[in-house]
Amino acid sequence: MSSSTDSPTLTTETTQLSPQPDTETAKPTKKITLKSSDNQIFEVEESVAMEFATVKSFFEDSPSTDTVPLPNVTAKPLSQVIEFCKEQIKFKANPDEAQKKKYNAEFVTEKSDKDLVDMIPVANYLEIKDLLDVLNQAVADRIENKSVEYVRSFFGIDNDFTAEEEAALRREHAWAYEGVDED
Amino acid sequence: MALSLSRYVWPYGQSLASLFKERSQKEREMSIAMTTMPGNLLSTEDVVIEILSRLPVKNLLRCKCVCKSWHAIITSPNFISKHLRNYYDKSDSDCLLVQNCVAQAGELESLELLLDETPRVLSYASLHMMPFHSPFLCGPCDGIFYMYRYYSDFRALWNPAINELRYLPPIPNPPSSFSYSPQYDAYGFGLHPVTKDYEVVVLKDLWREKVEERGGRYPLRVFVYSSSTDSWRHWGDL
Repeated sequence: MSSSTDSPTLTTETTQLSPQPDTETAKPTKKITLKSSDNQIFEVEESVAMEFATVKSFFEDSPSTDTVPLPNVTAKPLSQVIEFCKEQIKFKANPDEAQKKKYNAEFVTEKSDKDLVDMIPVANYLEIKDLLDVLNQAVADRIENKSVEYVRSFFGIDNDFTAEEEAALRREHAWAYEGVDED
Repeated sequence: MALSLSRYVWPYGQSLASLFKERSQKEREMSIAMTTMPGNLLSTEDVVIEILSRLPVKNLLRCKCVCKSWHAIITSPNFISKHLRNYYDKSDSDCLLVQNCVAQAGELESLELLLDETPRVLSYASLHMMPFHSPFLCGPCDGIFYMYRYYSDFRALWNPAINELRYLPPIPNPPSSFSYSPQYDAYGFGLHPVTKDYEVVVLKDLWREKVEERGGRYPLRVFVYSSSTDSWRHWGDL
């Protein structure tokens, strides 16, 4: 994204979305605006935004800010992360471990490999520990007992070993390559 | 790794804020340019460590040949201890070693190993180099066993999870005109809490080489093996 489109967008948004505390006293919660790197705007309740440690410390340092730019985060994973955090807030209000486990399991099961992999750096950057735990475990589960080639393509990793080096590594623990799942 | 958001927050009073606004805006744009570089989103080492430390050992052995940076992560001591901590934290994972005599012409003994609740009987091929005939086993300590076989002065550290055996060098020779008595080693094995070294302590009984000179009590020689130096040191005599 170029800087020429970025600056004006930011200005318009700020005017549009500046909080009006006086007129909004009836509303129970304050809204916080998050802006993704692809300039999408997300308005979330303060309690949800405070689940993001990075955003929380941003607000502690500069309380007058109205829009939090998230230059490392694109819209799709951000929306999924927000969806997850909204649910976690509900579980905080009404603790139900079984329901929470069920929700967390379903949350990752329905996501594609790419969605999971894309969300991890976001959860990492925003420091959402619970989500990071859930995602890391989900990814570990998906690559468990898979072949080296499968793991490489899952993460988009290029093999930087020479054929000889790789063959030597494979010989070292030949038994570990037996009984691997089909890709 | 991305820059932290707090970098854009200026610790000056509000009056100065506008002065810095433009500069801060430029920094933001720069950081966008920096962080939208194409490439692998999961390049962050911390994230890779978090994911890999949840996998069983067999998977990690394969993952070592995914790429060089993964190889470096998986073989680093920090990763190994983290993985081990995760493993012990999982209440449902058990490591049980069963020493079982698999009567094969009444000669061979074999070990059956239950790891991750999956019984895996080590194959004869992988047992080929192992001291399974009446070894003394000690451990596990942090996943490692100490093995000792009396009659051939054989000592080794064994990691059953990756089926790796590290032979220990021979015990240093006794002083001249002495030999070690044909007693079993008295031994102990543990992990040094500070250096994270596996250490083996062996006590050897000294006696005179010539039978006619024997008699009385000779000191016990204490040797300590340390895995980081892969050598024995003479700790002292008792």
